[in-house]
Amino acid sequence: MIVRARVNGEWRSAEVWAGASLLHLLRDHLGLPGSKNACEQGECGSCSVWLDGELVCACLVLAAQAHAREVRTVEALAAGDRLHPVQEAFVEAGAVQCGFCTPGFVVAAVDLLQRDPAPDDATIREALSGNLCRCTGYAKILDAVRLAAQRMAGRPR
Amino acid sequence: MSVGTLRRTRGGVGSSARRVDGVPKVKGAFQYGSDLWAEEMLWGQTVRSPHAHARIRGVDIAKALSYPGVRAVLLAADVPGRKTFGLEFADQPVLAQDRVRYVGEPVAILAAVDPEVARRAAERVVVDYEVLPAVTDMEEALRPGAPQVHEYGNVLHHVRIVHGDPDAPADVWVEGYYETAMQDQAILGPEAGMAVPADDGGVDLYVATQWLHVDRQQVAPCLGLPPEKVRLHLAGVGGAFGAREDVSMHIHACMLALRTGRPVRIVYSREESFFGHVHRHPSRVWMRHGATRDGRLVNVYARVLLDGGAYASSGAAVITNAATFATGPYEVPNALVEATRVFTHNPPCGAMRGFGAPQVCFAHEAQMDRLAQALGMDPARVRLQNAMKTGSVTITGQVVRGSAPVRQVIERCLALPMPEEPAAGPRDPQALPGGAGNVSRGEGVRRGVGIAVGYKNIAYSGGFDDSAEARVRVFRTADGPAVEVHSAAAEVGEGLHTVLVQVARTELGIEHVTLHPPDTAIGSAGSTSASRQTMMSGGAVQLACRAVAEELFRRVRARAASAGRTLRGELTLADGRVLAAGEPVGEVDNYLDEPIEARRTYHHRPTQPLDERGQGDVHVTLAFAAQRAVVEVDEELGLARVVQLASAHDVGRAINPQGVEGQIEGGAAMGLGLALMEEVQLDGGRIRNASFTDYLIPTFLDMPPVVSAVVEEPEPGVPYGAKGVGEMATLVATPAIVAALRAATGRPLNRAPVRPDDLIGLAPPVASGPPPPAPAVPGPRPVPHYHGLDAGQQELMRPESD
Amino acid sequence: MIPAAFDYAAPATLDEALRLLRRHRHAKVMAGGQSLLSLMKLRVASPSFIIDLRRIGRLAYVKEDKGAIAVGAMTTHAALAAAALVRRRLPALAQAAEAIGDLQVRNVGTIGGSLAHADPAADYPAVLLACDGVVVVRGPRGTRKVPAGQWFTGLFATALRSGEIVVEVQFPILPAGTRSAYVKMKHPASGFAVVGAAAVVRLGRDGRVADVRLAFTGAASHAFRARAAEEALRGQEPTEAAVRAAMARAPEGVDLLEDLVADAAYRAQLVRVYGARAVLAALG
Repeated sequence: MIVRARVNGEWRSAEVWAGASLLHLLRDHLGLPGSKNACEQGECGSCSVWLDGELVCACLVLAAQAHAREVRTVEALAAGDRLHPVQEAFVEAGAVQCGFCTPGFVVAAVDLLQRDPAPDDATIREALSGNLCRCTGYAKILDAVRLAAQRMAGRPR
Repeated sequence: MSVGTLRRTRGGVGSSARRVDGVPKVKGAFQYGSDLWAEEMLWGQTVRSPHAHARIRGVDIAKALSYPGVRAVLLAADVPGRKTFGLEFADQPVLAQDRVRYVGEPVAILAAVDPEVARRAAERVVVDYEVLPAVTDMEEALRPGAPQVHEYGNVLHHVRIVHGDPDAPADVWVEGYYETAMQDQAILGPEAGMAVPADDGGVDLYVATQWLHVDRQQVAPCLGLPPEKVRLHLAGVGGAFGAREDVSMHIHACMLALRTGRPVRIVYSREESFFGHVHRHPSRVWMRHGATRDGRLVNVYARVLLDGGAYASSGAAVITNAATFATGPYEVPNALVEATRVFTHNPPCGAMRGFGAPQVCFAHEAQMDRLAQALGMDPARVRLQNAMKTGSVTITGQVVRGSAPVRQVIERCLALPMPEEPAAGPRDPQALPGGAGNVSRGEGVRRGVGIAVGYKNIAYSGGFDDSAEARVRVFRTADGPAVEVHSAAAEVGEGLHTVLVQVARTELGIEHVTLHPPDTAIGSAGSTSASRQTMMSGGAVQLACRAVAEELFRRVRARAASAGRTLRGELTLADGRVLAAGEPVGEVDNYLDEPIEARRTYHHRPTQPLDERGQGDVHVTLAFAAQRAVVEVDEELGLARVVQLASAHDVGRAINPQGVEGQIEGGAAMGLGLALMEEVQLDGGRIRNASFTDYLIPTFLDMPPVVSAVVEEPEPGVPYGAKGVGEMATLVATPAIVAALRAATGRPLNRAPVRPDDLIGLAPPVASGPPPPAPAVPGPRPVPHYHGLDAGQQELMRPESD
Repeated sequence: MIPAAFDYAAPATLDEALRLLRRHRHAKVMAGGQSLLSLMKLRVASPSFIIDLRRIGRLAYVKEDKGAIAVGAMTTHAALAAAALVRRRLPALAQAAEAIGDLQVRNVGTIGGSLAHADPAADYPAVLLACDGVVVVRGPRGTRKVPAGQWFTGLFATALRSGEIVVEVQFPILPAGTRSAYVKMKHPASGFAVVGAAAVVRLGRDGRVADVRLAFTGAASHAFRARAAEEALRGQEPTEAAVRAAMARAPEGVDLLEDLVADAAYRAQLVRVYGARAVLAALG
């Protein structure tokens, strides 16, 4: 079947089998491998993307479900060399180690700060509890989200 | 070089320099093994055994081969060269020939034009098995008459350490039995790589690994190719923790690529990843500690069993570690350790962060608490009183020559601030065991505090010269001088590549440093494991930089001489300039008409294998850590929440303080996992929880704040005095947390992970019979050695001809 | 990866969906797909035809209707958890919706999908039972309403008949003075309920428990009312001791699930403890 979706602002289409997930469409048909495939069961959040503005696990959404809809991925966050403040904060705070979970965390953290620009620690932990990281023990990720929130508070959104 | 003479360059040694791979990783642009792509690429798939032990009567591939879109289906007979591989002993079939020894063992491989086609074709490979009796219990495997996993029996290696007089009497004895479960590394990035056939009949393999050269050493003979025709390149690594020390899809992808003439990518699914790599050995440990009435250790007996599953992997080294560290970082004048690494028909076990030390640390720290209790002493005091120090002698007779600040790590750890006591009245459920959705208001919640101390070796032990090579090139660019560092060392997430860049910046006073992609075009860097790369590859880069600097200084002096000047004082480099006695002489750029390049190899000090009595100067250097855990337990539900982890680490010197913290925090999380939730659950050799739904790893909600301190007592004779820091936090976190749980509940908890049933007393402590007798083995070396199965790892370290 | 051997349609109207469902006997209706796609990946489910309801408008709403909170079947968990009406009038339902999985799942998963799927560890079933809710289904013979007590018939089994689609779920608005709560032990990875308990409690003029409805999910093959415990609690002073004593009877007669997380003995303990905590939370 042909799926056509607006991906990172651009209408794209691809021929996929009915069982293809949105993640497979993005990674293997549209050349957007930034969203990662780590668990295939919606447990790890590494494939977090926005579908019509809502945070979803791309591995638990059929490509067909995204037809005629708007998809936004980690690849859309930086403007060329200018990182999104959340990306900047992840690098600076040491929140990146192996980095496999990082795109999912960055997307989920941006989503959180869009909804709640000044989250407390408990809110950050709860909001990001659907994303697994095996390297950092989460401490530096918490630091990064706090840092990004502080910086974004000073900027127009 | 002493610490005091370090020159300061931005982003150099001692600074929390930004990760060199940070920006691509946050953008989603970093290319991992599973992101590889090539025109005309095929997708590889593995057919695996559903049985723990069976004879293969036949394999019918006709249906799979004729499935539209399938390009090749290969079996054991198609392996072009040697049929087996292995890290230390070549005992593992590339593809099972006549027998399978664990559930998940590869039997056939195939390549197809599409992943779904490959998966469906795999279902059409028909294997005729004759199921045989399996042994899946490590004590069972040692009994006479047990099914034999290999012709040479069910023992890979038995280590016996006799130190002092094992019959020495003591005033007070405490005895205990302990178990730890099989733990999975749960690398987020699954096993992945792509093999590309080359025009010269060879193959290029892009793969996520910990050690390119040891992979090639195993891959090339199996392909029947000379090493130079098998070129390995490091693909992005999504975590390792020991899971990528062994070969997984490497040989399979190469075989399929060579057969089809097309690039072949293999990416394991999450379920397959649980079969695709080795796990942490489950352990059973019996211990008896004897002490004087005033708390001085006199005599320790330890019987250690590790279940290694079906193949050797690095198990012989793991059991050697477990044996040598069995009595902890304490002065023990008399000891007897009997440690056996057993074969069973369980999935293979090998390296995982801590490498044999976590299993025994869990046991010896519980014993130290028992001893403190028996003596009516404070647990910290017993540990301080017996703490090792520089000059101490270990149970293998090794004199601790390097820094050994055991007292300091304990004292610094205990001095870290305690978490606040909960205020009276109802509490935020978020902060209670069970988290949101739980409505206990804090009644029935008990707090406990525990501590643990542990130690581990840095780099490979027992006479192995795991040297590291690096090449450094300094050249001129439009923006000034630049450095390129070439090393085969694998960055697996820990930040090694940033460390190498920091070393080059510091040594050459040049900020602009880039890394050549790691590959086998240069000599081995050794494995990114055993907390060794900062010392080893850091050392290699340092040596190469110094050789480059020497040539640069020669040019500086020569030019000065030709201009009739004499330079006074020592030449140094800083901020892209050459200085003489601290005074600028000129820009480095001016001396780079020809680039300068040097290649050097770093060796650590030599060590020895253990002798018949388990004696020998076996470890290169040792690192120590202490951890304190504060936990809360909901006494009705048996739910536990760790409130705080406090950690003090002996790091020699922190090359990148932020990176050190990251290792401490991440390592603690993995230890917390083993304490509270992580267990590969087996049923007759079958993994019951091969998914992230059922194999639980700590989430954001499980991890408490980690407060840490580093003790910087430089290790003499190693670059910058830095010790590795990758593993220590993991091994001390588990016993500290379980000790805190014991304190909170008053229950004897002798198995990790602790389950809710254990905490509310629904499950009794695990019971044991007497320790099994030491098995009969042909000598002090691992058993396969006597059967000519050595894989010849040391060969790797011979310098390559250019 | 998901098996490819199925056809897919996303009809624009409910009637069209019903027509497709009639024509394709082995079709599976998909709402958010958060459970269905998981099962298909595990090859536990392998439908030959998927009817995706996402394009059908007007099935996502939360409104007050004839003394009940009416929730459209395609309402996501996130929307339900955020609905002011639900938070105010039926806290247990908001608590259940909020406690499902993680945000990524709550943004996509729906109440209709969850109730039709009837996972034994889903959260809504306990609330539906404790509130005496109603499931509204549409089929070839029109609309019918199924009371909560008759909805769950077994493991992943409901009273939904072939050719029918869940269109609405109704929760009667509780009379003033009647209070509700939902509590659970959340599975650390999936977020499902290892055990979840919903309680609806009304105290009489004498301050004693006049009426209580207590339902559990996650504990057995399907959600159930703990009638023996309810009986034991009725007429009692609402003290913690009395509540705990009554809960000794909560697991009575129930064939408890055993899985990797909890064996039957531990689940029984969870039923007793969460039952008590739900009642005490409802009482405030």
